[in-house]
Amino acid sequence: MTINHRKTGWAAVAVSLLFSVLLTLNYVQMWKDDLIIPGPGVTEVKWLSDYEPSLRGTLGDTRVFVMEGKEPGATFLVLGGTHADEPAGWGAALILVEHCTVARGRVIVLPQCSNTGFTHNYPQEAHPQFISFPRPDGTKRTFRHGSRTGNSAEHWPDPEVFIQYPHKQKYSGEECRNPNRAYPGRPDGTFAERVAYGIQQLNRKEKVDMQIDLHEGQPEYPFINALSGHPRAQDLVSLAALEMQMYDLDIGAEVSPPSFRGLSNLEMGDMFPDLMAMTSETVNPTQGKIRGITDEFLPVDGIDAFYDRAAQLGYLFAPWEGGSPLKKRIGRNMQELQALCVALKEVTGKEIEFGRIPSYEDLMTNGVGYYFNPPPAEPADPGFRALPGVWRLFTQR
Amino acid sequence: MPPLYIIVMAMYTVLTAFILYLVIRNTLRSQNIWEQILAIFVIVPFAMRLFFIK
Ligand SMILES: [Zn+2]
Repeated sequence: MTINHRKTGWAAVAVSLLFSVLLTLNYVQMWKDDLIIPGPGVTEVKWLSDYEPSLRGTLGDTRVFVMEGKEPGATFLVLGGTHADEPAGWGAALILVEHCTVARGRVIVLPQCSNTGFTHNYPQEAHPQFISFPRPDGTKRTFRHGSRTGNSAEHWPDPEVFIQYPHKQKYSGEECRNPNRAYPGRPDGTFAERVAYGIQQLNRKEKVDMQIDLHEGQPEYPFINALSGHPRAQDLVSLAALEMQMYDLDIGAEVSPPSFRGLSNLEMGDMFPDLMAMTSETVNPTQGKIRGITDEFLPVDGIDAFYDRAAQLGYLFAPWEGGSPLKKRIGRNMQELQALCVALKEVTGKEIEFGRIPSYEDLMTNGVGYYFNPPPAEPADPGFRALPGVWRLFTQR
Repeated sequence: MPPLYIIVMAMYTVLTAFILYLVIRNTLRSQNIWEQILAIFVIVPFAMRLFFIK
């Protein structure tokens, strides 16, 4: 049998183009906004571009949910999804938006603070693109599981060395896309700096009294199950940690090192003299370097044989019995948000009170999906709100 | 005048298109089917680079 190489050549080209188109269509699904269904507590939905207009029409624009209580009080800013591969942070913020209510004061929530981080995956980690939460009625809610850094389609180019503004601390080039090195940000800076500047403007315009940035860390990393604050917030952090211990939740109380620049708690705390700014971390095996199979269940169930072994050998910095399921991590965060409000009142006299909010025990009993609202029977395709870079020239209205 | 990085990016795009042209041309000329199959692994990433032109 003779092979017609002209025909096989065309076949190879056709197969290549087919794969390219399919992979492209798969990838751009992450450019669409997640379905977020605001619950009874949300009184207003804004966009980050209301505070930093240059973000309008970009993948970096993100929803800002305002939850105003009936009684007047202080303002609490909750940042989730600064790192989009840390679902306990954005998951807790989403439960605030979809389920919780505020009785006193005002809570402002950004569940997907770094929205371009949600539009792609971190290279070479084989992370899932989406993770799902089953609800008690058999339906499920699906959200994007993104990347630690922003999408280079908006942030291009990375420098060889990223020089932090304004402190000139040097980081590796890709940290240029890490929103938690970009604070305090500036309006004419890099894309991440403009996102950070949006948060700075939000702080200024809404007169935020307390800010928490919800993060996660790998189990072999010493700074996990910890709450760290701006030096001014030291008392508040210690009190909140004590309050957590009332619920048998151990959490380390730390001060953000002043030599580690660009972090939300340090920079926003330095900029606003009345702000209490904190960062917290839970234990996420999906980020860990010694994990095994990384499928869409690992971020949710938190069970991993290699971490079981590492825990037996005493290599981990946090308790590991039963793994680190997301309900446990989000449960900690929900309890921590309440502890922070108690501590804020003790330290400053300012009051914020949640109305309906689940506790750690509630999350452990009901799971995460229970706190999300039911999806519409026939979900509409959200379409593309924004496309990056040159694509935008063809879509801008 | 567009910003410098857009110009550099556009040059990358032209380069990508040229590499794609070379690879596809050689694939069609090739007399070795394994070479043609391996070309798939070269064409896909370059084609995706073109689709994601920024
Ligand atoms: Zn983080």
